[in-house]
Amino acid sequence: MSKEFTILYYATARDATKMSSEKIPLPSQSPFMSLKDLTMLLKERHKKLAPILEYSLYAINMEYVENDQAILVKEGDEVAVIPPVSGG
Amino acid sequence: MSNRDFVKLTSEPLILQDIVDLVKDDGAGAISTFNGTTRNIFEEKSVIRLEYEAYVPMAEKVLLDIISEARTKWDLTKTAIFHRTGIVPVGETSVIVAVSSVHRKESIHAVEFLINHLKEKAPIWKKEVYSDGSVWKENAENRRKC
Repeated sequence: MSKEFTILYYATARDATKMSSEKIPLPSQSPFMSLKDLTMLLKERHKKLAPILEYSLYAINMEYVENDQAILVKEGDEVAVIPPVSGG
Repeated sequence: MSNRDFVKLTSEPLILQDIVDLVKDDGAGAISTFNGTTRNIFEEKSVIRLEYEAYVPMAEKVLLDIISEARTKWDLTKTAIFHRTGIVPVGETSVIVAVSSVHRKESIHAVEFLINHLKEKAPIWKKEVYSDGSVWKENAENRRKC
């Protein structure tokens, strides 16, 4: 069985994908995926998500990913697409 | 959660007095609060209701992190941040921040800090529903991807 991680969609991202979460398999040749590769993969899976990803942040395991961090997604991670927030 | 910092995302109505009671302390001479209420008009459009969605476990974690940061700046006795989820009718309270401290200055500053950082960082989203559609809102404080 392939190794996978979970991705969560909220607000505009949930509307665009019509789902709140999904499991995504890691490529068989690598136990990791860069966020750049993840963004490309998500744009292919969900055409309507592409413009939203341009202005969203990622959180991995409930921590925001800062732009300069070379973080890799690994098996079992919970990755969230965080569109601009509007709490309050 | 500690017995001095209270954070909750809830679909239940928020009652200011209940949250004031949580931060009340005999050693604290001041309790400051912020009570955010849903408005009925946005750019001349009539809002029927608001719908809040949250990444609940992360939102609660972010709010506790914000409280920890506030505690490095001011000496605070107790703090509470409660935020609604789900449908919130116009005119109801969507968020309450309450802070107690020995003297007033600390809690007044901390309340402003906490609500500002909530609006910037907490993974919570508000959808305004009008008679002719709906829009996901965006806070001006948002951090953006480069």
